[in-house]
Amino acid sequence: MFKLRLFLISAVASALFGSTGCSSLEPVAEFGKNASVIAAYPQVAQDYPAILERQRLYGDKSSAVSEEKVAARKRDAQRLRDAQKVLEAYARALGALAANDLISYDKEIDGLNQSLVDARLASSAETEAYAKVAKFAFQVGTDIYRRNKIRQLITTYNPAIQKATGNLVTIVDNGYLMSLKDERDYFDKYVAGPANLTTESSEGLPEIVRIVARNQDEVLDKKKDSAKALVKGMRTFAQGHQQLAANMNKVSFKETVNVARAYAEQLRDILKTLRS
Amino acid sequence: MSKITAAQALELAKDYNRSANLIGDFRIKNWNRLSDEDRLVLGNTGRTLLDQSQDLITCAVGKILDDTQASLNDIKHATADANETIKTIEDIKKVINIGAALVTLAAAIYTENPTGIANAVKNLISAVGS
Repeated sequence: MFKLRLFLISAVASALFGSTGCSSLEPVAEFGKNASVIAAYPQVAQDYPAILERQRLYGDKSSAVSEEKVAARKRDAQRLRDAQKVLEAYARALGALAANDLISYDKEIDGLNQSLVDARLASSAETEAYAKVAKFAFQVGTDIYRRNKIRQLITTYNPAIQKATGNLVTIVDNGYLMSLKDERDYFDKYVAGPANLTTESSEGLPEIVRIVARNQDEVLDKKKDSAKALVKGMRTFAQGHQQLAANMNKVSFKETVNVARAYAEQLRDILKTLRS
Repeated sequence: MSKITAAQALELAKDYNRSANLIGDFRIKNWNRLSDEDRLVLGNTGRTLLDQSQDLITCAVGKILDDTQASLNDIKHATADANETIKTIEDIKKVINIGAALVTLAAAIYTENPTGIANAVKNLISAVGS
């Protein structure tokens, strides 16, 4: 009788689990986790006001690099960081919701079973059999619940994600990177370049100018590469989210998970660039 | 500035940078053929264009950030919703833990084991408080 009951419960649970198109959501978890690390990258926002301060060091005394403009950029840098933090928190929560360990009840059910055995309310053999079914049933129940939630979150908030990431990409790509280029051109074309030409009679000075210019170029190149990686990462996150939203109600969850896996891998590669 | 959009400002910044580069390259390439005054005028013009470009960027970025605020507020709601769901799922685990602690407590009371009761109560409090 006991075995028959167990068999029936297992059969119902299997049917339920099968109907959800069961597949691990780990790729969605990784997609969220990687995206959150990329969104959190702080250097671009920190450097945005510093560009004007460096340009002042090159001798620029115009109003474009005034205290007032630096202060405006500092305020916007903070707003940019805040915006990044909002995206970071969203991606992290999405990742946590899709993580496998969230719906694993092994520890809790094993604890409950041990209590039943210790209290002599059931034998080890009985609880072991029930435990398998209970773990399975709890997992199925919460998996269906969270899949619906993930589907709802991604489709409902996709327009907001697209708008916010699109704007942040514009700020970094067309704002910060352009500003960095302005700084570099100011230095190369209007400070170091002419200095090389006019100091030929001063022994040793052209070489010093060249060394300083080379070092400065290297520093600015590194900043440029990091900002480009951030842009690429934000774009990949936005594209991945868009693809997930577009596929959610059209294809099986398994196929949706494959989309997440592809974008999670792309994000992982971009992360390596940011960390290098 | 208030009459142009952020996108237009960024496009203009790019154009100013391009012009400043052309002037800068021309100035360096023809350095020995230019008079001191020409060098000065061209230098000032190029630098002014780069400064204008920086100004346009400062203004445009502020506008784009203003435009992003509503979407960010929506995303904050999404995050709160996701975290609420996580909490609900974790609460189920908490309920199982409380169940286990209650069974242990009941068994300890039934067997009249004072040490067992004290430990079981501690475990129950811990399960409820986690």
